[in-house]
Amino acid sequence: MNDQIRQILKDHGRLAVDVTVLADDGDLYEAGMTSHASVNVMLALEGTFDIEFPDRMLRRGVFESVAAIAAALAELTQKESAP
Amino acid sequence: MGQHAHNTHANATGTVAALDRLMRGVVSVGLDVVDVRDVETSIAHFGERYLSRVFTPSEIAYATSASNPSTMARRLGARFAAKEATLKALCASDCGISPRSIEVVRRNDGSTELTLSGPAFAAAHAAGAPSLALTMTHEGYLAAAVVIAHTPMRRSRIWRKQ
Repeated sequence: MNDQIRQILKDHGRLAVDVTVLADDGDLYEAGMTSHASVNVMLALEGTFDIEFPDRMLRRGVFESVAAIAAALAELTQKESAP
Repeated sequence: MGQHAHNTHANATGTVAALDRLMRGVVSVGLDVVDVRDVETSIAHFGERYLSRVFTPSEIAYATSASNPSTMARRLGARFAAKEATLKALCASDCGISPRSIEVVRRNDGSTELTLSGPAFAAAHAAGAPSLALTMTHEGYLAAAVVIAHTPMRRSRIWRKQ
């Protein structure tokens, strides 16, 4: 999952650093991601993982690191697969 | 002290007093800048999904009424900056607020104001700043907005959307 997240960040995150060398808990905003770019990242994640971020998850913290994004995706995909 | 100097001093005192009255009501300020080319890229990549997740139908209708794509992107960029500046002014960037609950509304005279709904409306009141003042601009590839959150003043109310 983290590799897919990194690819999306590479394509849409507008990062000023190489995302492949960024730690999972590295701050994406400090790495150059703008709030506008985070919207693109969100839309790309939704398309790739076939999920939708609810309004309550439209928080800066949800998109601040690879690890934070992975946690959010785990929560959303778990709900999607629940009976 | 000559009359000119006296008047200058009186004017300065009046200005300081007016600023003091104004600033007492100011709770916080938010500023945001958007590269309009990023908006163009988002529209190209995500199209309607991007528009409908970020902007309200009224904002989209106004932006898409532009005669060319560049103007449309500038209008959207300025509105995105206004939404972000509002979140910053309210210290609400981590509150789970949809950008669609912060709407830039054009008055008949062409000026703009903010209308908040749902969680954004609640955040403004929780911040002790039920009134917001907005200014937006764009120049070249940049669009920017400043939002001042303050205690109630005339002509800068915010309304709850019904």
